[in-house]
This record gives sequence, structure tokens and C-alpha cells, in this order.
Amino acid sequence: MNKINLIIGREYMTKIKSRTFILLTILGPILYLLLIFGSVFIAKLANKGDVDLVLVDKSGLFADDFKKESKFITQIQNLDPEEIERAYMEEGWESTTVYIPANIAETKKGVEIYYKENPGMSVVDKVKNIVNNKLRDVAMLNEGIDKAVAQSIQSIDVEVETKPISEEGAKQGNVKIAAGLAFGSAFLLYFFIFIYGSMVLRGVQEEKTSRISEVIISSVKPFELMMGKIIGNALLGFTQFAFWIILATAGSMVVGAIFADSTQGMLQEMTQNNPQMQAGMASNPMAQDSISALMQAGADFNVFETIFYFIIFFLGGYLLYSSLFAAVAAAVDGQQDLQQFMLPISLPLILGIIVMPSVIENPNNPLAVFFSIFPLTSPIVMMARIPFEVVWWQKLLSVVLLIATFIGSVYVSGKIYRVGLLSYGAKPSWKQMFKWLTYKG
Amino acid sequence: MLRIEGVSKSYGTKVAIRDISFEVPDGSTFGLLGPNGAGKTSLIRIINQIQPADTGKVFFNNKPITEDLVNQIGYLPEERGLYKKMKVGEQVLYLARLKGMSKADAVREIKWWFDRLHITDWWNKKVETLSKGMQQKVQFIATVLHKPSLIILDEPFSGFDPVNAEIVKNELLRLKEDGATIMLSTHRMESVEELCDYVAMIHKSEKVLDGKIADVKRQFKRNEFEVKYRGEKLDTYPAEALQILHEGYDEEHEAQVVHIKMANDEHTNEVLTHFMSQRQVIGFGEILPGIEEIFVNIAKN
Repeated sequence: MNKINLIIGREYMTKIKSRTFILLTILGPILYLLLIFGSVFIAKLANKGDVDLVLVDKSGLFADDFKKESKFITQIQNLDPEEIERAYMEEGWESTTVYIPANIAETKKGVEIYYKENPGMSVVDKVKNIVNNKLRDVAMLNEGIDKAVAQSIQSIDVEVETKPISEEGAKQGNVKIAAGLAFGSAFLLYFFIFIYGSMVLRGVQEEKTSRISEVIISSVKPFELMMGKIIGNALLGFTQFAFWIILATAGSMVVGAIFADSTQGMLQEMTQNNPQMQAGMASNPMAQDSISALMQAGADFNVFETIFYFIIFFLGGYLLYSSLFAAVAAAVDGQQDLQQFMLPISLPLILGIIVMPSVIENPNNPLAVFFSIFPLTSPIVMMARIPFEVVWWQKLLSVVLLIATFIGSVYVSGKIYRVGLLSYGAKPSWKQMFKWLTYKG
Repeated sequence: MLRIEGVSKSYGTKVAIRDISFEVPDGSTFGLLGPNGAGKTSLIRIINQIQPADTGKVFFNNKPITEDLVNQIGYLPEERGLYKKMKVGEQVLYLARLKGMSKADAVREIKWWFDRLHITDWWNKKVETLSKGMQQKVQFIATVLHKPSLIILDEPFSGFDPVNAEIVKNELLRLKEDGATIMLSTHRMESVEELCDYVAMIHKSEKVLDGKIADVKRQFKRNEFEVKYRGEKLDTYPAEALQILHEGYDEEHEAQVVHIKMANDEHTNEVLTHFMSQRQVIGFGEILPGIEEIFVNIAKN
């Protein structure tokens, strides 16, 4: 026991002092946020950039609406379809052309977009929206409906509240927040299992390639060495968690304080300058505390339950995968061979991420239930289901199976690890590794 | 010190060692010999409790070996290395503590050894900045730091540069004088003769021979003698010489050299008289087989 403490201690101390670890701890949250917001930002960025548009509007209804659209730089011309075609073919036109026929208001069809370079879905959608909105306005006007009335009708937007029933009765629920939480925590878990699992992997690999393993295991049992590494890295992970949780709490308090002030200020300013809005606000108390409603909804998701399961599934998944990683790293000698064995082992984890969107779409579909109980994918998939309230027996079954599997995998890996550490040279096959399991001791 | 009784080990269907028994006397320098792949490393790993034997037992000071007793062994494996990113001092300290030393003891001993091998200022150096030869010094210190009563070195001189090999050799001799028992495993048998007083030979997983080197050599002597004499080469050799194995000239001594084989060693005087009556003899002696020669002969049969 004393020796395993030494191993854990070395594993922990050498890594926590290493520059890469400190850097990762500090930059980790930033990278994670960048990843999430980055993808949103990139999506927005992809939509940016103004589009040169030639509008050929035979009906004469749409010129203003197109000019109002900030994304389009609209140039109005009066051409026939044949002339448009010729312009592209003979004059080398580059810009996209929208053709709207004269009788559009009656036929409601015949809008065409000509282009050389595909303008993309967003441009097509925008054009469609402009045309549709205008035609609706026109239609309503024709029926004698006032524009203001029409707008107020169109702006009807009923909030649907989801109220899952549990033992304590109906609760406030919010599917969107649940989905966000599911995505966030499952992804985080995936990253953590991979990050800390590969720390174990690299550690074992280092010991193998630097040929120090045999020196060490002449003093300690291979199993102690493996477990020492796994536990040491888990502690390292928890240190990082703790740091990040403190950081997140402090961060959200600071951000919360700033936002609370500024939103309050903004609301005041807006209401003061706009008596109409003031009236609207008064009549609609929902809007006033929409922020607090959001926070309330967040609180209704049992944060403690989520954190509890996060830790359970992290530990289970991490122990399971890091022991497998350790076994493979011990068995092969060299980077290239390692890659070859890593892929099949990490496939289930990746599978978990692949099925996640469908799990969030419908958390109780049979596939989601299966993957959330199957121990190789359960850490990720169950984590994605938990924000949506999972039946207790499924959670229990999932956790029990995961524990049973990691005990099994630690046992099997320990055996492969022990033999693997001492064999150098030729790369073993799966069959050989399987045979190692039968070796005595 | 160490007694091995009927130890066997197989990996799957491949037999690594079969029913090996021998004893390493207290205070001896013991050579475990055999070509690559004979099973030396497997046996050493069993002694160190790195892997279990299928059958048989290992006794350390007459007690079945246990994990605690393994702490009294200093083992330098054939595949040896260090953590590249760790500092030299920390690393040796870690290895010493894994052997059960207290921190204070370990630090004191490390300083003593670092001073002795003139590497006092290495404590804070990272291992990766050391040359291979320097790393070997550190590995050796880590092996013997906890004052093991049995030191096992697997292929100790492969990879050591000559300077370090000499240092290690001298330190080993000193440790032996202080009472340590030393066990060397090697396939380079000539290196054993000057260091070891006992040997065991393993060939194709089985022990083929063991005992005191002097006894082994005597057991395998072939009654071959060497005569050195000055002057012209003799035309006739004594009748006791059954066979002339070699004739040559030793320029250093300006002497004719002849190796003769006899039926036994009873008539050396007659042979010597034959030479002395005709030439000036400057040397006469029995040729004992080298360890390697003995091994090759055994392996052939």
C-alpha cells in the first residue's frame, strides 16, 4: 500500500508541476468555450459577407424589401429571362440574379434565381422569406386587414412549458436547457475520458519505451504500478475539476453581476425612452422576469444529481478506458503500432458521440436506452439522457454494469499489462494478447 | 544465499526454463551463462518475483522468497532505463523509496554515492540531458543504493562504455568485499572468467552445468600442455605426446611454442626431460579449457 502511494505521488507530482499540465488547466476552459462558441461563430461567419444581387422584378412589388435586406447589395434591372441568360453567357456576369414574374401576386410562383457560383441555402431562404412576407402583406391588405393588426396577429408566439412529473409532482422543465446540459456534459465527459485516459496511455508508453518498467516492477507488482498510474491521473483530473469548478463559479458570479446590472440599466433606459414599450412591459410581466425564469429552470434541473452522475460516469468510464489504454500501451512497443490498437478500443466512445444527437432528440428511444446501458458507451450516452429524467432502474442498471465492466477490464488489462511490459520487440497480435490472459500469476 | 529448486516456466506452449536447480553461495560472484534466448532472463525474473514460476521454489537465505525479501535484492535488468523528464536526484530517490528505504536514508546514501562517482552536481539535472554512459552510472547507483545483500545484473556490460564498465567492475568488487553476493547473467562468457568464482550454464532452457569455476575447468581438462623453448624447432617429440595440437613461434619470448595432448597428466616430467635434454625450456604449463570452450563442447553434444 505504501508503494502504491509512492507511485500515485510521483504520477501526481511530476505531472502537476509540468508546464503542459498547468497550461492545459488554465487554457482548458478557454479552449472548451472557444470550441462551443467558435462553432457558432464560424457558422455565423460563414453566413456573413454581402451578396451582389441583381433584382429583375416584373411585378414592381419587391424593390424596397430587397434594398432593406442588409445582406444583399441589390441592383435593379429590367430584363427578360432570355436576356438574363445571354448576359451570363456572353457578357460574363458574375452576380446572382433574382427573377420575379409580373403576375406573382396571383400565381404565387415563378420566382427564379440564376447564378454562376452557387449562392448557398441562406441566400435562397432569404429571397424566399422576402417574397413570402411581401405577398402575405399584400394579400392581407387586399382583404382589408390593417397592417398593425396583421403584425400583432403574426407575432403571436405561445411559450410551451414542459413539466415532467416526478415523485414530488410536476416540476418546471425546460427541454432546451436540458438539451444544452445533455450536450455539454456528455461532450465534457468524452473529452475527460479521452484526455485522462491518454495521460495514462502516454505514461505507460513512456515507461515501456524508456525501458524503466522492469526496474520498477522489480520493486512493486505490475498491478500496483498500473493502478497507481490510473489513480494518480484520476486525482490529477479531480484537481483540474476542482480548479475549473471554482473558476466557473467565480466566473459566473462576476458575469452574473455585470449582466444583472447592465440588463437592468438597459431595460430602464428602453422603457423610459419608449412609453409604448413601457405599456407593453406592464401588460406582459412574463417578459420582465424571463431571465429569472431561465435561472429558475436551471435550478430545477437537479444540478447535484447531474454532478453526481457526472462524477460516477467519469470514474467508471475513465477506469474502464484508461485500463484498456494502459494494457495496449504496455503490450506494444512504439507509436505506430499503438495507433493501430487504439482505434478499435476507442471506437465505442466515438460511437457514443455519434448517437448523441439522436439521443437528445428522443432520450427514450430504444437505441438511446440500449447505448445508455451498454457499458462501453453508457458513460457518454447516459450522461446525455440524465438531464431528461431517466427511470431509476435504467440509471442503476447502467451504473452497475459499468462498475462490473471496469472491474473486469481492470483485471484483464492488469494481466495483459504485466506480460506486455516485459515483452519487447515484435508487435503482439490480438490473439497473442488473449493468450497472455491464460499465463499463470 | 540463494537456492533454486526445480524451477520451470513456460509461456503458453513455449518452455522458457525446465527444472532448474542450483545454489548461489554466500559472498560469491556467480555467473549465469548461456546464449541469448536460453532462459536466463526468465529465471532472473522469477528470482525477483517479477513473474511466478510454474513449478519449483526459490529460497533466499533458506526462506522461500517473498516480496519483502526481494527488497534485499538489487536488480539491474537487461532492458534498463530511466524516466527522461525526471531529475536525477528525484529519480534515484523514487527508486530507492520503492525499495522500502526511508526518505532520509535514501537521500544520505544517494549523496554518498554521487560523491563517490564524482557526479555530486547532477542532482538537479534532467535525465534527458545526460549521455548514455552517464545514465548508466545513475542506473547502477539506483541498483545498489539500498545496500542489497544480493546484486543481480542482467547482461551488465552490454551497452556500458569501457570506462563505466571498469568503474562498475571495481565497485562490484568492493561491494563483494563488503559482503554482498553478486550474480551476473551474460552470454559473453569470456567476461565472466575474471570476475566470477561460480557459474551455472543454461542451454535450451535447461541447466547443463554448475559449480565452482576452478572445479568446472578441472572437470573438463583434456590433458593438454604447452611447452616453450628457445632454439631451432625440434624434429621429434616425446612418445608420451599422443597428438601435436599446435606448433608456433612466440616472438615476444623468442621461443618455439608447442601444444601437446597426453593420455593423462602422470608423465609430465618425462616430457619435460625430453625437451630439456635438447633445448632451453622457458615455459611449461597445463592448458585448461576456457568457459566458453567448455560451453561450446557441451552445447554440441
